[in-house]
Amino acid sequence: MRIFDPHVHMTSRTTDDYRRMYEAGVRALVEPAFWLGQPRTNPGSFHDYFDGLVGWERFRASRYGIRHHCAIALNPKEANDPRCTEVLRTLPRYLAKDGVVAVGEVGFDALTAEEEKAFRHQLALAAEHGLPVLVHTPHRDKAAGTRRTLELVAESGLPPERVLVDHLNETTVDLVDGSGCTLGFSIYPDTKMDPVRMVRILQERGLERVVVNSAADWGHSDPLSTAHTGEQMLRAGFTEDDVDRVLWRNPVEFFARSGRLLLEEAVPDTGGAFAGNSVLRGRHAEPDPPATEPRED
Amino acid sequence: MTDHDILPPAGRPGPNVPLARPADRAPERGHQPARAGYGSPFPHGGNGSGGAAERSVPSMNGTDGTGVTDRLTALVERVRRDPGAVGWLFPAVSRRVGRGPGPSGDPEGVLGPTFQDGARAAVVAALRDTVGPERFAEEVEALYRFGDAEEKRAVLRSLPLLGRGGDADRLAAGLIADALRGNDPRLIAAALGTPAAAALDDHAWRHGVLKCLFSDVPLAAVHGLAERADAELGRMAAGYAAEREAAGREVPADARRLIALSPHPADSPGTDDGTGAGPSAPPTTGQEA
Repeated sequence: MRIFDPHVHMTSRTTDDYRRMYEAGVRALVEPAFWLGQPRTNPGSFHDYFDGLVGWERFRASRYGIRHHCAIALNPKEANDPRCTEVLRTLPRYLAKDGVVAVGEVGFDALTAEEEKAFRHQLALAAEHGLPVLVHTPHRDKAAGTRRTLELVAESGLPPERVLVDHLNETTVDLVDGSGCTLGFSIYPDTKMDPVRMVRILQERGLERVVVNSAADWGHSDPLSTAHTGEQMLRAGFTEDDVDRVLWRNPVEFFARSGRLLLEEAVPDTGGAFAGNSVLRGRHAEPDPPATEPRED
Repeated sequence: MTDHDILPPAGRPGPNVPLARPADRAPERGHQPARAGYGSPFPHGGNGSGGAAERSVPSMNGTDGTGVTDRLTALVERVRRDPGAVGWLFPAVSRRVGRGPGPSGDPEGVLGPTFQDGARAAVVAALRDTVGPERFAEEVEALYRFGDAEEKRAVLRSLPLLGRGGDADRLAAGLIADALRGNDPRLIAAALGTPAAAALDDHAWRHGVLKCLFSDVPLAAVHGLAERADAELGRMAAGYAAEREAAGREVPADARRLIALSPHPADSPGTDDGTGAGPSAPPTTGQEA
């Protein structure tokens, strides 16, 4: 089973998670920018976070054989804080980078005017930069937030299949399906979907335009929930190829629209071009066991 | 070092340079999204859109059969015409021009600049030739500040373009010190792999070199190591080796090399025993070291 987790917040996870994810088949992921639990108070706090997403976290993942990509955005919750919105001015610097495969997470938290303004602005940035969009749908008043999301996506002129509307469940799947957007499901204990319910939706609706993620973060969550969903699909009679489609090909197809996926670089490096340096060769290569953390600091 | 040393050889991108990735997705035609009025992300002349103007450049994406050199030339010309665009052109260099190992053959850029490092240096050189020295320094600092690891490495490799002297040295030393605080071997190697590291004071430079031993950066990556290694560095390396041995760990060959490279301080035990052997020489008395 090869897995592309299209939504997981590795900044909040440990190196043990990277090891277990690799063992479970995760070879690539997307980490969208989100709220860290503790409110930020200024744009510089976002810049350091974004630097981590394109820098240290990508490097850390590579040491465990996992290709790390990210999505960059001002998240819905902090779009309400006037001390933070200034960060929208520097987003284009980050949206130009390799490995930045989407604008996200954007969308609604409490359905405020400020959230809508930042959402619109970032949909426009996605159009300008030719990037897909990863949209968070709210916990509270989810159906209304999802409906308004789809209206804004339609107004933006973005092709709907380039917009992933995430955290869907039984009550919002039909609404989003009808829009043509890509459907995202978070397999997240207690508050979102679980593998059994996910498989039921796949049986009723089919596999097309569906991606499954763990959305694992600092909360009670599980970075292996994508693998658990794949196993549940097999138990329910889906084929290995069906699992591969949902857990690998569908997310790859979605994010490949950015033209910025780094997957081809994850193939084992067996060439001789690295002669003279025995240290880094193979660090990204699959046959090697995950390396240890840097020893300093 | 001259510009020539850090820029890609004209018209000869090398056999290992791959063509750029498939074209960035084309913009939505006829769709000009409304701006929400958050203003320009760039301090100098950028209009904040990043899109339409950039895409008006003749194709540099390789789908029209243009070569690497043509694409780099077009990119450099674009920066000369509109230096304010460098903030989003610099990150896109690999996608637009190509990527791969440079003359060192090392695709990670530890042992020497990669091809894309050279292409980015050409962009930095174009910027230098187009804007005043003060703004040039500001832009270089911003390219580093907002760079990912690949971009930061390229800025470090481009530092000789700043020239030497008070302000240039202060900027170079500051960026190099930032890279040395991190744990990314590619950045540590680039920070010490440039002649611009001459701007570091001796204490900071020695700690950088020692950090290579802790970070799996081969000492072959350090520019001018043999010339600058001093007795104090040898003492630090010997201490590192002693600590490794005390823990029952292997002493890396690079640590022994560092000890051997460094002149031995006159007052160091082991150098005044009449054998002329330094701390790295095998014991001549038959005792356990």
